[in-house]
Amino acid sequence: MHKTLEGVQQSATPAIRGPLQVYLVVLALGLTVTAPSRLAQVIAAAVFLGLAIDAVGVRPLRWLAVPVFFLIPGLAIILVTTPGHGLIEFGPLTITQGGVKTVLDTLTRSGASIIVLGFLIASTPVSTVIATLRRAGLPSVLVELLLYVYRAIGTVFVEAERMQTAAKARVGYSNRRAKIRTTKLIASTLFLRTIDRVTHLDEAMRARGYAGKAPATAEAESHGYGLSIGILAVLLGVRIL
Amino acid sequence: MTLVAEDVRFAYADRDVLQGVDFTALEGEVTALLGPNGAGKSTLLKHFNGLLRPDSGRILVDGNRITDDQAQLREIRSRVGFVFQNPENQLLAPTVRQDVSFGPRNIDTADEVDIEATLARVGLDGAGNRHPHTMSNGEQKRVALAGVLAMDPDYIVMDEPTAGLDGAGAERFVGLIEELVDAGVSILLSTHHVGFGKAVADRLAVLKGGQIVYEGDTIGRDTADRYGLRTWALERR
Repeated sequence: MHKTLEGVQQSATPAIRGPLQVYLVVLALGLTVTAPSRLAQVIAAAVFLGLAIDAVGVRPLRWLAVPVFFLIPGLAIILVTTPGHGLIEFGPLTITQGGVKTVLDTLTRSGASIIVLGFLIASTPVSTVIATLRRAGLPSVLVELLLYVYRAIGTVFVEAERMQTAAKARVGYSNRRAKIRTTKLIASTLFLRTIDRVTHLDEAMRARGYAGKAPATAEAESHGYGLSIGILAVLLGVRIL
Repeated sequence: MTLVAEDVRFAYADRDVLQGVDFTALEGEVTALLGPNGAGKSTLLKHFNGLLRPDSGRILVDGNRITDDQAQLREIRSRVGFVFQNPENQLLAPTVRQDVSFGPRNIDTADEVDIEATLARVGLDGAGNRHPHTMSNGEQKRVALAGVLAMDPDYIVMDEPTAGLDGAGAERFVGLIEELVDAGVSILLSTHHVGFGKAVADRLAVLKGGQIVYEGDTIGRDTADRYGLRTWALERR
């Protein structure tokens, strides 16, 4: 059985679903991003990874690695440009204690956020997300902005899969050297290709009358209240402690 | 080298696409796989490069069953090149030269390949520094073909090579296919255009309803109509 991202979303069986899932992810994302300790972020990552695996299985989640491609170059720069007590020197570059700390903080914060959002992306049709946010009274500009980001992330996944298949057909992953070269090549063009695709998609939507408000209907019924309360309690508890 | 599918079944999440396909593409020939849109032509072709694995049944390349063995896949992919229907799905490097050299670098033949000569072979002399994504569809298709030719495969599998091309572009592709055959390359291609299939192929097969329903050296209008290949439908109006 072979599935696209949309197929994965449609057949997902998340323990928490409907508008409640969107509210939970938004709240959890806020708590994760602003959490003062790394422990809170690690716990959030573990909880939402478990939810995502339960909803769609392990295989579709391999695409969580895609945003990491964008994260790694930034982390490498932070590592060698943060001033502070030097730990290791490579010619003119110095890895500092402050650099290591900032990188670890950024990595856990971003990694956990990606996993929290990944649960939503892998298991919720975008129409549910839009309708829920509208119903919650979020300004339409903000909803459309979120929709744009959501669509872009989805496009990154699709585009990355497309490029990976193309690379596979020309033996791009046959050994470690080829894997590194292919990954570098894909990482270097994925961002531009994604922007290109999103621009075309936007054009296609405008051509069919889109003027800043996408039509959407949402699954009205929410499930998993108990679990959601439990998860939020854990995230809040770790934060307070 | 022959490409064989034996009782191949394959399903996507929402539908069964291949439902017991038995099919052979012989060495030294051009074989055209015909079928209406959605018949599963692309799905079947991707099996011969190991991009897809059958849910059941066997895919044999030169008598060897394709498995998950990475060394075998490398060997098969270097001998059976795959040209995607939509070149945007195949081109992944920022410049034409980098894209064409991608395959040879992966199979360690980059030193032996003359990229400029390969580009000239598809009529793209001097295009090495151009950006593939700013090229026309016809040019992109030729870059995609060059990327596979550079790997010097024995067999080239082409998914709808003339899709999206105008008459001149399609004619140019027919010429390219003839040159490849003269150079000893065997070709398996898919098309929903009966006229193109008849013009280039030594043998034709029709895929419909997930099975091969017709095989022959040529195909008549009645047979084509029977299998939903209504190439002449508009001409009749």
